[in-house]
Amino acid sequence: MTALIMIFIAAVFAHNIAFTYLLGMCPFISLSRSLKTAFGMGIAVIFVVTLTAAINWPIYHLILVPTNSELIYYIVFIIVIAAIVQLLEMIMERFSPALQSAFGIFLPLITVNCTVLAVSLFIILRDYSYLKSLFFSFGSAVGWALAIIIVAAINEKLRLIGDIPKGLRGPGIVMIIAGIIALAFLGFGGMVNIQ
Amino acid sequence: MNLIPVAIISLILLVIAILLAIADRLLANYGECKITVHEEDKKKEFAVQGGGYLLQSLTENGIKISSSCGGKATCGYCKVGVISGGGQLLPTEEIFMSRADKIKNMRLACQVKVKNDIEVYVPDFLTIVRDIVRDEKYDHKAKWIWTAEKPLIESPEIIKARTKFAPEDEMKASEIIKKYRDMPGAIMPILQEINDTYNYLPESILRYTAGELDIALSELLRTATFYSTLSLEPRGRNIIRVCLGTACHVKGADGIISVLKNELGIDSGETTEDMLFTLEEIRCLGCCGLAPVLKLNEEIHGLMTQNKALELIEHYRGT
Repeated sequence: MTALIMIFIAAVFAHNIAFTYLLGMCPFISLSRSLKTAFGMGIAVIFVVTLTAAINWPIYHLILVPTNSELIYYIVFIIVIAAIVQLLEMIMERFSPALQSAFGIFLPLITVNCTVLAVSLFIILRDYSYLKSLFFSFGSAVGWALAIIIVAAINEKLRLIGDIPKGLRGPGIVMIIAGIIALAFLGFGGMVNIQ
Repeated sequence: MNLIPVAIISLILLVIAILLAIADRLLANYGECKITVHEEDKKKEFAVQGGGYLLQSLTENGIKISSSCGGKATCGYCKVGVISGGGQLLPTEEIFMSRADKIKNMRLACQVKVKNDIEVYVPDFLTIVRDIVRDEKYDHKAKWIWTAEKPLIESPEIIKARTKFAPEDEMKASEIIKKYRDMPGAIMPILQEINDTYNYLPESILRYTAGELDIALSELLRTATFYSTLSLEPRGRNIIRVCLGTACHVKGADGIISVLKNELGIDSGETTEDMLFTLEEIRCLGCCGLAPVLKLNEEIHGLMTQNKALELIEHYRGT
């Protein structure tokens, strides 16, 4: 149990997927303008990452490994992610339009968020067990959500001061904020480590 | 060659496709939905299979909504007003909606999914644009579309003049068109010549010209409404232009124009019922030394007084 919690904490802080691996930068930069959208995207990512990891692990270990076709796991994972997002959208549209309108445009966007694919690949590369991979994927997604929420909050506060040079507004200042926060997250490095 | 990976990937694709198809059948099935459309004064009702987009349903049932992006929410042309049953405004639509649009509950038809009974109205400007764009053939009896909004307070004489299309008109028009037909940029000279012949651009002739030149009427209108010398309103045989420039104003042009208005019984910009005079205001004629000035047809009449103006009118009435 401790090992599982360690993996979770390491995935959130020490090996934060946005700040140490710099993954999912495209939505990270474009959606970190306001806290509200950042929060929506974060929740959607947590949802999809955990779900896809939970489905991709059995597909890899129960179908691809026995048939000696590990080679194609990239393609299979991408297909699975796309299908899951599609399915999720259908389910939400039917049963919970309120939730769907809260997610809005972010859910389809996740299909191309590389965090999702990266987490699925990490659990294969690091050879996690099923439980471990669940905790790891959930932790990574929470870490990514945390990262985008921190940056969005800082961005919002910065805009109140409103003294950003013109050329730096938008993506530029987000990169700088992300860099500084990443340095701060480096401090977690010695705390826990992923195996 | 190892074919197993290929087989596996095909299998996975197949399973996913089947799953999605089943989900689509189970989840996206909203049964039959009734769509009620208000267009102008007409009301139309029809039933469609739910789950599709509103734009598609409307188009399939003969209600034309302009959309240049084909339902991708990038052009923002397919705005319709949703009275009931449209759900919430989506983030994809929000950038196209002004505050007024949001209050009026406008939606992009290409983003609204038909999930239940829905009631919409097609806004006026859409029908106007559509009517202009669709105008391939000319109908002599049709009215200007934008005058239909305001009540017609014109005299029967003017209405008759506006929609009349006699055989000699066709002759005149076809002669003008023949002259410029093969010339590039023929619209300007043709419109000018029609304007010279009729003193304005009669609607029937414009429609005929558009048909003959095989261009849209809206294209002619674009040119015709831009230049102030081209007029869409019928103008009298004699056009009185009273200068209201600074010099003329100081010398009492105001009095002259009000006397003319009284005498002719019209406001500036209007035409008398007997189609004899049109009164217009003009800013400067470039002969301030003769102020106050008025221009009757092509002649300049300087050093005007109110009496002289009335005499002039009498003179032209006599001939």
